[in-house]
Amino acid sequence: MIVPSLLLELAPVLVKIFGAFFVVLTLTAYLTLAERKFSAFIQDRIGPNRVGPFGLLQPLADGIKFIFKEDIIPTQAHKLYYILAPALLLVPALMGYAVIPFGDYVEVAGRLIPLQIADVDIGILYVLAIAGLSVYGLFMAGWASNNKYSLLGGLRSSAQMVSYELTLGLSIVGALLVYGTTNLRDIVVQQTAYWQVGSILIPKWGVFLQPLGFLLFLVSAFAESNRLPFDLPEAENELVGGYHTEYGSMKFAMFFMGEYTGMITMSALLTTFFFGGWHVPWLEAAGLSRNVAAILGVGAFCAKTGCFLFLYIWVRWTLPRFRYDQLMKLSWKGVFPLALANVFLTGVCLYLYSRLM
Amino acid sequence: MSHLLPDILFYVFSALSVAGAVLVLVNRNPMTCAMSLVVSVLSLAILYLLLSAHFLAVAQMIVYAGAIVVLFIFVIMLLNLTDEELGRFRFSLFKTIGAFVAVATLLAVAPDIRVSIPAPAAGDAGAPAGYGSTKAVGKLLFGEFLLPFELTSILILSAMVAGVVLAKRELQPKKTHSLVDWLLGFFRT
Amino acid sequence: MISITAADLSGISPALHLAVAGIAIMLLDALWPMRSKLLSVWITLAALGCSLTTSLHRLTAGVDVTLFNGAVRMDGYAHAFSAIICLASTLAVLSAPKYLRLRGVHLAEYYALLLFSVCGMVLFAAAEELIMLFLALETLSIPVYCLVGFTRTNVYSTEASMKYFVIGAFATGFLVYGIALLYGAAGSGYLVDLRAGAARAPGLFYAGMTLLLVGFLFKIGAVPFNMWTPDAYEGAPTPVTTFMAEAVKAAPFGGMIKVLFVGFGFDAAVGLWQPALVVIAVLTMTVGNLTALVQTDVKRMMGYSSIAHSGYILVGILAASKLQSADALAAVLYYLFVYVLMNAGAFGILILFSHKDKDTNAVEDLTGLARERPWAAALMAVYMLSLTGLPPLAGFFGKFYIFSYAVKAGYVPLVIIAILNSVVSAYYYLKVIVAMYFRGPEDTGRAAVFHYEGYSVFLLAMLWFTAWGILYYGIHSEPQLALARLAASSLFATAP
Repeated sequence: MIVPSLLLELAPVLVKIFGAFFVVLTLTAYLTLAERKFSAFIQDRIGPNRVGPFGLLQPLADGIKFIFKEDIIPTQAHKLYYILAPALLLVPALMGYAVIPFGDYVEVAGRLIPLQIADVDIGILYVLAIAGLSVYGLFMAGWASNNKYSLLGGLRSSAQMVSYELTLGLSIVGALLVYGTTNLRDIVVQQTAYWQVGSILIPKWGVFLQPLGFLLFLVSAFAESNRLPFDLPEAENELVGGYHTEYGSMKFAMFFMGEYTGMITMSALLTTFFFGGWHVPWLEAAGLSRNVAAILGVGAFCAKTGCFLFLYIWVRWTLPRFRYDQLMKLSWKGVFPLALANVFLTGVCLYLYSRLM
Repeated sequence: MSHLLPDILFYVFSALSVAGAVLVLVNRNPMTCAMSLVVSVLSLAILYLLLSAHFLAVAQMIVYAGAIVVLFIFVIMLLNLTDEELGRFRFSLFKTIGAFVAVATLLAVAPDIRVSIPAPAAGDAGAPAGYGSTKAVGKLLFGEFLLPFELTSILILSAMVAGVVLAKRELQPKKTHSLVDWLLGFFRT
Repeated sequence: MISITAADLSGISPALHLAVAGIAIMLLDALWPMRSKLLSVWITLAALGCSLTTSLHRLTAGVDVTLFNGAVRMDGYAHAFSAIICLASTLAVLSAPKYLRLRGVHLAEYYALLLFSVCGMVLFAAAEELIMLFLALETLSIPVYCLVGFTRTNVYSTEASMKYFVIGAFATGFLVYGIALLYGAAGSGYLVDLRAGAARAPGLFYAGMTLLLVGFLFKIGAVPFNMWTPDAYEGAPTPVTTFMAEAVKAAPFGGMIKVLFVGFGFDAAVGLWQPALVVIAVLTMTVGNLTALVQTDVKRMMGYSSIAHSGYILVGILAASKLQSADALAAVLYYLFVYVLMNAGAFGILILFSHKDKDTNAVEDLTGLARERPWAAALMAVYMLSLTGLPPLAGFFGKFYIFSYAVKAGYVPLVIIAILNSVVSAYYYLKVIVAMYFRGPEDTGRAAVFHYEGYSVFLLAMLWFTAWGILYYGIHSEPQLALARLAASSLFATAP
């Protein structure tokens, strides 16, 4: 009797894991297409339009091309680390998604199933810990390639990641103080409340509570996913290609997938933390059934995340790259003190609020 | 049945953590040493998870794997030592004595390790609810261990000041910087 | 939920003054930078003065409180150590401004780091628990690593800092490992609970005890863990050497004595560490004194001499543990107090004649001092004679009390070795006096230059105070001893 009940227990989890995995990987593939399309739009070009209608099958073609390219390992490279590096970058990027809630509960066969792979108490800390691990992939690639440019890229990445991990963590401390929990689902649930101003209901989204924290987190998230204007580890006009100079074929594709998956995770986190997650404002008044509301919520979550992904692409094709010392200065002398100030101010405000109310 | 999986995980990861630690000692390549350290540190984090010390596990990952070993590797990559520079392994009297002392200590300590582990509670009820959560750890840190916690902040502050004093290029800048300058400079860059 | 009360804060105020002043100095210097660092000096002195008077007041009032859920206990013993350390640090701070100004490194950070270190020292003697003990020890050590390398352009200073840091970190490794094993054995970090561990898991317990003691012996510079002392003393800027020779020297004894008497004070453990300490005390005295004989650099010589003095103090600790008498432990505290005065003075004279481009460190540099600067030479003579242990100076009484209690405890061979060592030590201390009084520039073939560069009232005040203290507290030792007895008896009240 154990096996069937175990299966019943595991089934929703497995479905969710595979579902999320599938969605994230597909999204990753199509994000590359979106990137190219938007860049073309911004630069007044047409972009890929040959494979399928509007170029929609382009990612598939790219994938096939990557798989059939010859897989080269440089003779002077450290073989084990060279092969391990892309995996070490991609796996943490995918793992981070496990604790992010993408919807409310749905009711299936009389059981309430949370739309989240794992509802853990330490949610956000887990994401930060996993994000911290992805740096190993970067510098392992840089070191194992045995190439000066790669090494420089690896060095830059480790310094950059450590610096911005700190600000990434610190910028949400204010929000954590407000929410009083590290559980991501609880954080979203708290944001479904409203303030009443006259007859208007304003959703209690994190961005209204923590505007500075949101900005700082946004900056750190961009730096953490190595995107322009912070893509110094791979700055191609200085470092050829940075840490992935020596990589080709599917391994190169994995670095790319890692980067885009990281973007998705960061966008999802921004949504969860500051924009109410799956919450659709004023929908409660419509009185929809639980499942319909939940599915609408998933849609809202995807839409909000999509907006941030668009922002990522928009910024990349609009802003120039930082200089390396500017990047470090921004982190340690700009974002870091401001994040500390944010923590301090939030603490003071919360104290005063608790005293006055 | 339900105990099988945690047991297997426990043995796998404790073996991994010991293997990682041993590899750190015996390996000649600094990069491999650092990576072995990561393996050891992460396995320990998993062991903490198995003990339901969730917060500790994540803190272990963030602090050790995410920051400290990264700094090690940063230095290793900056130096980028070749095999010749590392030198070859040589036996010496002190190393031999050291190894003997280490083994002797291990042998002396080993029989007592079993004793020092508190006996499991009757019925093996497992950890109480909320054990090891962020809240529980926070309450301990700001309750029973408040003074050590605060002293740690003084310790880290002084270490930070010490590092800056020793490493900063110019200690007495020509121009004096004040808070106003800092704020203005922030807007200039 | 947060269990912090006004009583906790007020009880720990000797340490709190220092930490707050350190942070205040850093903030002031960042927000309102000034060329002259005199304000920092005054804040430091005020904080140390507050802590000193608070500690003395509470020591005489017999305050005995356990604070922060038993993490620290501010009893007579802790207050006495706090007072000794604050006095020592005050003397070190008084000697600093002149030297640092000459070297162009007169920074506010110096005082902030020093205060953080002193804060750690005060808590170290008060710690009742292993985690607290470890943190306090680190808080007292880490700023000192930096202070040793404070003159950054000087290669000797940097080398000394590096050596001291690496060996210090190594010692800390022993200590932490020892703490881990002890916690594993006893299942509790509180010193009073440790003895339960010896019965439960003797292997773990005694391995942990050994490692913990090795860590302590590193910190007090006992042989064979002494190799860092001379290099660190020689390379460090002289005011930092002063600080190391008195405050950093005295503080580790605070925690060590407490751990030995409270944590390891039961018969089975005592039977193990007492013989070991006897051997180490003999080695420490002998090696320290014999090596000091051949030194030509006063700072290096004082480094070895400080090793030797650690040996004498260990004799005192052994006597106190054997006799289980507060009087014997009071002698150790009195010795530490006197030792602080003598060392501060001796290094102060070196600072007095330090120039912009060159330190006055070699014994040879002091040749003919008596003719040029008779008062300075007289002061130096007082410090040296006191270090030798000549009556009626305080140094003599310090040694006399320790040795007489050791004889009472039955350590006669140990005392004979110690006295022989004292005789040997006379050679190198008197070497300085000979150079000052009985030799002139004609002997070295160099013109003696003894002009004051960067005159400092602070330094002169420190020199006269220490000399007066050595002369006065030698003969009038009774009030000091009474305070020390009060402190020691509070430790024995908790020891098993």
